[in-house]
Amino acid sequence: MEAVFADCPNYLEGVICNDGQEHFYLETQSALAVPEDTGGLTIYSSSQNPNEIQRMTATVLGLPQHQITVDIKRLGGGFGGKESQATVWACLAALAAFHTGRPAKLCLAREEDMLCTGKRHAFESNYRVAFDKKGKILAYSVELNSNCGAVADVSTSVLERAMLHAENSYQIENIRIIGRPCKTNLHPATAFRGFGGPQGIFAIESVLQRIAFTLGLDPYDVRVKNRYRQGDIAPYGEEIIHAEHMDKVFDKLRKDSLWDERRKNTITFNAENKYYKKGLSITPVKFGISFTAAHLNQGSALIHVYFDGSISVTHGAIEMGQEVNTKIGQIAATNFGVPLSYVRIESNNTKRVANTSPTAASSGCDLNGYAVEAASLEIMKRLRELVLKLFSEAEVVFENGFVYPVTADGATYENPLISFIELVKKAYYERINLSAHGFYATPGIHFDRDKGQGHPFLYYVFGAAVSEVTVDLLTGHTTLDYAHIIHDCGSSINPRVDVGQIQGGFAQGIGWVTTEELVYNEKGKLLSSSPATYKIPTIGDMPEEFHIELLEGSINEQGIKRSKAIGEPPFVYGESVFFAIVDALCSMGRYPEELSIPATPEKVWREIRRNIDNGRKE
Amino acid sequence: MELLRNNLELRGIKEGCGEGDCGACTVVIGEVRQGKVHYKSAAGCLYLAAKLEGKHLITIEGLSEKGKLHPIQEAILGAHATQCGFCTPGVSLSILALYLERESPTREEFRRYLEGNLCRCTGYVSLREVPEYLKDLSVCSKDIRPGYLTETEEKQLHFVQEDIFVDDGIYAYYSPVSEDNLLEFLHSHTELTEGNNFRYINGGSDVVVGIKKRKQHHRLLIDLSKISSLQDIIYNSSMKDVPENILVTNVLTMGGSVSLSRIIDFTKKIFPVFSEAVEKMCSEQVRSSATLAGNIVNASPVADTVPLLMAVDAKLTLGGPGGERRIPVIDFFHGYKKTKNKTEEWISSISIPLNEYDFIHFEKVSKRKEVDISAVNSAIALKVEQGTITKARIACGGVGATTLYMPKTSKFLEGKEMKEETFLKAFKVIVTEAAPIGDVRGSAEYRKAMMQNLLMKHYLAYKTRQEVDGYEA
Repeated sequence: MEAVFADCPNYLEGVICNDGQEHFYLETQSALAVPEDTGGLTIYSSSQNPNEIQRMTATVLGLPQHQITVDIKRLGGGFGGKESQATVWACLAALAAFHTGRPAKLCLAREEDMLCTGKRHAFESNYRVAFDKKGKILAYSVELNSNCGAVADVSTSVLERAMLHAENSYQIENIRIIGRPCKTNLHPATAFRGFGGPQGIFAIESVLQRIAFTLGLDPYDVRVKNRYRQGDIAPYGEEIIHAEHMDKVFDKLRKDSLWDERRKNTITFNAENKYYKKGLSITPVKFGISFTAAHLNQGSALIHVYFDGSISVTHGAIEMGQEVNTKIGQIAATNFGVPLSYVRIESNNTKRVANTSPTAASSGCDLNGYAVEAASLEIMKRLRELVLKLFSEAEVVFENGFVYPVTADGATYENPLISFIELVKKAYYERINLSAHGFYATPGIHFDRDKGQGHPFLYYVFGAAVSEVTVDLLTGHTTLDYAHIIHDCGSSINPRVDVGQIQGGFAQGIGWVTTEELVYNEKGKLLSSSPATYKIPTIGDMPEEFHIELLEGSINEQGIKRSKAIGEPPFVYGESVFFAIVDALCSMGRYPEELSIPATPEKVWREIRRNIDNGRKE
Repeated sequence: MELLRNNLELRGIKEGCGEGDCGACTVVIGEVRQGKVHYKSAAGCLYLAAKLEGKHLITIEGLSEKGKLHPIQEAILGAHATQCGFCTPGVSLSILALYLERESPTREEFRRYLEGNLCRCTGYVSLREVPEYLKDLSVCSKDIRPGYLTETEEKQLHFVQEDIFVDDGIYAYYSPVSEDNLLEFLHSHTELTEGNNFRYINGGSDVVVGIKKRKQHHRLLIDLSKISSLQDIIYNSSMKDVPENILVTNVLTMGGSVSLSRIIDFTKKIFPVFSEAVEKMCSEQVRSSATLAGNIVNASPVADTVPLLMAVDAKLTLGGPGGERRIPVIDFFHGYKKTKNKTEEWISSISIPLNEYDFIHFEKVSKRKEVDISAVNSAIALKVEQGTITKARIACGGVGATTLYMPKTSKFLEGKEMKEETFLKAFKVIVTEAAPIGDVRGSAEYRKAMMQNLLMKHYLAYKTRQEVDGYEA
């Protein structure tokens, strides 16, 4: 690698920084602990991780885990901020309830929540890159330094994911990735949508942007030039399955976003306008799906079919707005061949599903959907055996709440053999077990941390975003004029839900890269500790023109019902807004090297001033 | 919010921040004004329960009737505009307030009513589609109005407004219906006002935040919001639609209790720059109760209305035991959060001379475009004759302990040509008039530069207006 650096005429090095980000879930951290008359406690907590709450409260109180029941219906947003950081509040409420024998509730005020709970990890990354004159990266060395705060929390895992995404969508022959978790005196940093992925991706995207500027090439072309192709292997030794989807996304997005025309218009606009500059950007995403801690890749479910045919489903994921309950309800209803109204998704309860993984890593639907699938297929196997016994029909389909015979031509929908409800009643009298527990463990995942090699991901999510901004040179204000996203979510279980996740993830990403600024005083106290000073996007910050396409014809053999996970990858699209700002500033003839996330108006203005000072010098 | 959640056990209202910045606690309030019931959205966390006397409070529990979802709720579901749902009660009620006041709101009005409802899940894109879904549901105003409104409206119209006074020995609250009653009260309750531990309150957007977050407790709160004489807006023009370019000085007088929302609507035609500036302040839930007088008397150096009021030389009328007196806005402040009104004085009205200038403009910089406090703001009023500036007044906020009128820069511009170069030269003058400091909203350096750059933005706005309107030859 050093030989490549030494020999290459095109070489750059630099530092890339991003700040943290406050989750700003609308519902602050809260927990209610209620003593039970049989000893122990029931805890209702706004947590993504009931299993950890059960374990930690049991440890704190010196009780066996079976004395603690954790019951969680839904959260008012989580985004990773309630994966590990909800636990302490639940423990405190439990402690009070345990010692007083009375229910105890603890809800943080917004300012308390913002002051003392963890945020996204800030990164400061040093890079060196060598590339040929067409922009192809020949060698890339990056040191990802992560600000973990005072407590380790999940920081090493976050850093690991950042490292595993340090090459994003690009094939890089010579690559060196070093990660350093740094202990500081700030509040502990924690999980936040993307879990290090956005930070690792931000570094390589910044590098590509700078390469394009240095060579005078279109940033789109430079990215296409470096992209992964079918059969390529990631630095950690795993094949990028379906890398060809990235090609499709690049090609289609260039056409659908009218990239070339926009580029032309941008150049004209910038030539004509002294006080405003437009910028255009493309940010692709390749996101690995699975927990990098292999043991977490398990899901469980419990299904009861009642005498009247109604179905109760408990699964290990937490509903926090991502509509995992909608998707899992659909999976169950499809498998039983009944209308959605037959299915009720229950609260997550440690008495019904045990040892669950946190709802995180975009994996809630995959892991627990597969567990629900296993449980429902188990019950269906028994019901099918009964149908065979009753009607001597081996080939039947369950649909719309009825059982239909299948002939050589397909299902005969006119004359059902029996309704689902009647079949269930008969099963009960036949003393057939109408309950089942389902379990799923992701197959084939392994990663050797010492060697940095293995197969950490089950599959990859792909996509890309184009953004266009106008920067006001007098104030540094940015307006996002246009955004276009193409996202590969396999064969979507629910396209409306997936589009909602893309919209919301993108909005959070915009906030992170533009207006959400964590300001600390010299003692490390957070000054922007309320919505009066910490500004997440409002309705007016979303672009007037905004298109989202789901990549057509994508099928994911590994995902539940051929779908792909959705939660985290779209967050990264927000970075396209940052690079559109960079592009606008580049039109003034200088690369804004010191600009970091978030590109607040003041920071953008500082770059504009550097541009002007630079011009004066020349 | 505490009354609803704790006392009445109506828990649909959510606390997201407790300081009027997130909209999760939005409620709808119906109140009688000039013989008609008007509805507004309000931040439940800042709205004092005592203010509800004689008003109709609608919470999310009152939206669906007879077990049937309200059309707004149907539309939110249809548009997939809810994810975790924590912000949804507030969102629903903001939309209700909008549709109760405007039959077919524009896209802009929808944004204006919803910009104060933070949502961390949806990215708002689906929310923007709600009006379309309401159209698709063929919803007319009759369907939007909950069935019980007619009945409550009749009750409210017959509601007799009287003074309210409660005192538990620690905290007292007094809400008079006239300035005379207030004077009488001040005279007869000196034991409550002595020691100056009392505050006037109107919309409460600052006083209540102080009570809740900074534990600033007062022996007595005097609520000015029910004094009808302070609710008047008087514009001394007989014409309803004021033709443009008419250069007769008219005076707009706004009572001390007029809400910012009413000001947006009222000034849209006669003083559009003021309307736009107010629209950029806080959120509809706050503007609907907060007042212009409050924005002034709070004496924040980044108050967004004050630079404009200074630029057009607005005057305040103060009421109080010593009788009425008038004071120009530029003379009202002395030091950080300090004003020249005496403790017992209140702002009874604000008078703004209109049509004295050819060009009035306001600019602000803040991190976020909407619902954000300025780092720096700036207003200008110019008279331009044959390409020469004959009269100029400039004021800036966020660059000193108070909003500053800039006499040197104003004087510098007078007699100069109305062109870019003039404004560039004025950069050097304006920096001598203030020495900004840095804080969480911006560094000293940025503020200093913005003071200058906003001058240029004023000029550019003038040029744009000229190109569009053929404005001032």
